Amino acid sequence: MMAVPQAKRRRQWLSMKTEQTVLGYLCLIPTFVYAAVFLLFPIFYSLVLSFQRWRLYGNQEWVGFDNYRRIFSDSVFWLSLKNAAIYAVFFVPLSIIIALAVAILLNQKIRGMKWYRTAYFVPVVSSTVAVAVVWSFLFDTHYGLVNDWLTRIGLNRVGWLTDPDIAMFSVIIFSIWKSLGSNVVIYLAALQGVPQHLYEAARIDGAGRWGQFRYITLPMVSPTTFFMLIMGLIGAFQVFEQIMIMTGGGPMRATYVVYMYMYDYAFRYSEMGYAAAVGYIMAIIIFILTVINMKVSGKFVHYE
Amino acid sequence: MISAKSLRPRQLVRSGLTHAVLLAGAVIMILPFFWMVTTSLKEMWEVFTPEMQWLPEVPVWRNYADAWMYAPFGRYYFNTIFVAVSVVVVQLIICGLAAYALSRLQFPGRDIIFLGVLGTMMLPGTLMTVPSYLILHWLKWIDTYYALIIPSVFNAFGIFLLRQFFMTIPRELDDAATIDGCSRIAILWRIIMPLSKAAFATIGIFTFMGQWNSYIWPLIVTNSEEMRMISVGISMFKDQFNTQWTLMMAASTTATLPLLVVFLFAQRFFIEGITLTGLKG
Amino acid sequence: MFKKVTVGLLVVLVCLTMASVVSFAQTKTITMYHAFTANTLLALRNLINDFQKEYPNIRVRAEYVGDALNQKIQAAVTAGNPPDLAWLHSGEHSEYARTGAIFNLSERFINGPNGLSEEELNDFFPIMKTYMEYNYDGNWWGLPVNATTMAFVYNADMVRQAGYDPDNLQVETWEEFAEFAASLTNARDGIYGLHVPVYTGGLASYFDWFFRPFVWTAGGKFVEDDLQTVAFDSPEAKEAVQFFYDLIYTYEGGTLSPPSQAFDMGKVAIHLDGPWSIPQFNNLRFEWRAMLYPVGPSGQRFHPSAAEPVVIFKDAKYPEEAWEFLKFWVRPDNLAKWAITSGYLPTRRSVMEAEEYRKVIEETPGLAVFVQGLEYGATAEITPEYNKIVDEYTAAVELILNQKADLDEAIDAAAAKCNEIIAQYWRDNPQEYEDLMKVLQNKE
Repeated sequence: MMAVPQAKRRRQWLSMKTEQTVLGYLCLIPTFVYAAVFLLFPIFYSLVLSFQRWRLYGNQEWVGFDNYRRIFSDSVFWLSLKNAAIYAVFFVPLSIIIALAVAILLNQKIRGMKWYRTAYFVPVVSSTVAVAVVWSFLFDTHYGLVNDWLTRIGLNRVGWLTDPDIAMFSVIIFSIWKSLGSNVVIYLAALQGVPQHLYEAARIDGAGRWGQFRYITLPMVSPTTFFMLIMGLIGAFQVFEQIMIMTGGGPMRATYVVYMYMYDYAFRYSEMGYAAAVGYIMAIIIFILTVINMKVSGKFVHYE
Repeated sequence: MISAKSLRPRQLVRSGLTHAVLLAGAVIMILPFFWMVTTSLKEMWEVFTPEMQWLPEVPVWRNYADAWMYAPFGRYYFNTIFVAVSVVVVQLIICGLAAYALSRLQFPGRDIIFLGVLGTMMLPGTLMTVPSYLILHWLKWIDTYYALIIPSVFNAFGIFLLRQFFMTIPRELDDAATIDGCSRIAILWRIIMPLSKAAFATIGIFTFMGQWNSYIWPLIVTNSEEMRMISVGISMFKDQFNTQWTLMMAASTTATLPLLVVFLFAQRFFIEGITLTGLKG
Repeated sequence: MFKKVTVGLLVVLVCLTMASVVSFAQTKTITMYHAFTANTLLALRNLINDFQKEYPNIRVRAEYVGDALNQKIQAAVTAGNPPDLAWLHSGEHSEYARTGAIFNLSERFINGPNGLSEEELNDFFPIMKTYMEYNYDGNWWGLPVNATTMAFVYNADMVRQAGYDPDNLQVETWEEFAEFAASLTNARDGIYGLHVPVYTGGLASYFDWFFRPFVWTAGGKFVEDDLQTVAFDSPEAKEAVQFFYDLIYTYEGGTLSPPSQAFDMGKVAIHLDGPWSIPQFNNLRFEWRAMLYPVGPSGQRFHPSAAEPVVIFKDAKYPEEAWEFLKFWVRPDNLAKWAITSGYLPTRRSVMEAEEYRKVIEETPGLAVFVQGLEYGATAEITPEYNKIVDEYTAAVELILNQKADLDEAIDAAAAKCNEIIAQYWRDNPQEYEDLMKVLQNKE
């Protein structure tokens, strides 16, 4: 009972609003310190670079918007951006839907669940090189298991990694497979937070499984879905490693994405300034998509 | 109660079906890992054969001994665990505080700051390498644990995820606690954190894994062998043109297994959430 | 007397202590970045041990940087904190030379009192020297520690089945090569004679390495000698592309997309590889042999070659000591040990011809072919914007060999684009252009 007057006294001391402001900024101090030391300089440094011509070690030369102008007039840049967009359009929604479905399956009380969950997490922890090798076996045109099954059911062989019309989709399948485990874990964590009594109430009201999913699960995990949408977009436009290992950007630049384009300029063509400009264009595109996303998702995201 | 229900035939079919689906999925998930483990036990000529050969004729345990001879793996393990645990601990504190401010407090500038946090993920990491190295050089942290730990303690992903979780916790709880005289920090500590255990565990395990697999950055900011981490040990079996598959898979297996064990046990935290949903009362 | 001895002993002791302190104070530590693994790493450890014995006052710290080599050098140089030395991939010193990050070894060390004699320099294979230059300037910007080349390795069992004698193979010309590949192909079963390694992106230089000898043996060039325009659009150079088109579609002897690890699996009979893979080949369950590149219309044989340099950075803390180490490394006796343990080919003729290395050639199956290949090795013509140009060219060849573009059109378009890239480069770097013009004038 002693606590009440104390709280009252504090409230007199600081208004509710000021208190929240002060506390809010206090909580953010570590973040600000980190940003001041480790983020501001690199961000500013890259921005400056993007207006310079700098071939790694020599003099830095101001060129104004020259890098940006060159990027926009390069057809390879637009191609790589298009490829990244294709990747994002398929990867982001598919990976979210599949992850939610699997998470719901894994959120039951049945025997051996612990082991199932671990199994689905295995690709996340496995070394990318090892798993990429196995997938290139599976996708192999002549000997791959996938084509083996296809021919058994009377279909034609598919050039999973060698047909320019297909290769991107093989990469997307691989990415979904590799990231599924982490998305499932996040959804599992979200599903734990859905109060059971809501389901009980819905059952009493006569809601079926679909109804429970549609009116309880989906809205309750919508903040997580929103999270995955944003993170998925950011990640999709920065996809690099798995494409590098699986197709190297080929065949015929069919999987050459914008991050690779930037990487090539940074480390293979030694044009750091140009690469920085590409990076900034990427960041701006992602930023705009994120803001649009936040505006649109206000309608479907349900907080508490 | 559940077991009594599950005796009904319809339930049995349902659970049988669930098992079948989960099992099929699990096989697809584990297959490459399985290849990794079996390859680590093969002779070199058994790795790539005319017909896919999943199992070695005779397991070659020697590969593990050979792989471990290449590099001081013991030291690598120590470094990796030390760095990963430090990063996780500091990161959870920073992320927790920031996410709390960004989700449950109202103050001017909040949404801009949140957008700024997200913005830090949007600039490609490749561009940050050189300037980040410069900072560490100025701080004289190159080749120290600081260089491995401090730059990783901030995690926009973690702040964002925690914020999303914090926002699902009913505000009435805060109000009730305030009436009971709890300070806001106490609310974070006694109510929000326990209710978000699953989210904290998720971030913890992701960060731990990220550190475990981090490869290029540690190579850039450390010089001596004594400062290196486990993924460097794996890369020693591969150069520009050549890969020693059996040894590399042996090293990969020894590096991956601890992570799976950690996950197997850390799951408790995800599941515990179920019992904590006593918010209804 | 006793006292005198004691005093004497004391004096000696003090002197010894002081001497050791002084020598300790003089110990200098030089650092070197590298990406050596496996046997090469072992060779490096041996080398450093040997060096330490002769030079107790110089400590060598070898730092493994693996895949981060270029990124790390870039960061360290920018911070003004580079290592003293670094091993580099073939050809990668030119960017450092251009921007003045590394020493011109000729100017700084080789021509000095503690340098290398003309005789010693001439002991390096001539192509090794051209690899160490920068825009034909005639200088050594690094010293070559590793030489390599590639040759065609083939599956002797498959060759025997196709009716050839693997130990007495008569495959010399392009036509014979294409027929040979065709006789080994059974496309229905997914068995191919040759894997044509058309890679793009990070591996494009591998394709370039594989392909350029075909351009040369056709009588063509990749870049004009004045480094102003590309030459891969000449009729001769186009013939090389046409040859591979025919090999794939007329002879049906090759594939662009073989099964992964196809040679190891016995699905592809001929495979391009280097001497570094010899230990791995010996672990396969079939017999293997190696053969030289076939000879094209010009009648001359060419092989790809490469030289991996070790360079010294201008901001090095101990450049003199670094030079001492580098000189020690390329000394014939040390270089012989290095080549034998690491599996790379020696860069000096005296090492190649030394008794102990001859013995290694005899004892290592297939190695003789690679050594012979090095004799046919030609330097890849240097060009500014190398990676950009190779990427354009590879992209065009990939389209042609996949029947997605007309040969003449695609090559001409790539050439036009590359010429513009080169012109732009010279416009952006007028000083370098002037230097090059001077060098070219002197040459004439």
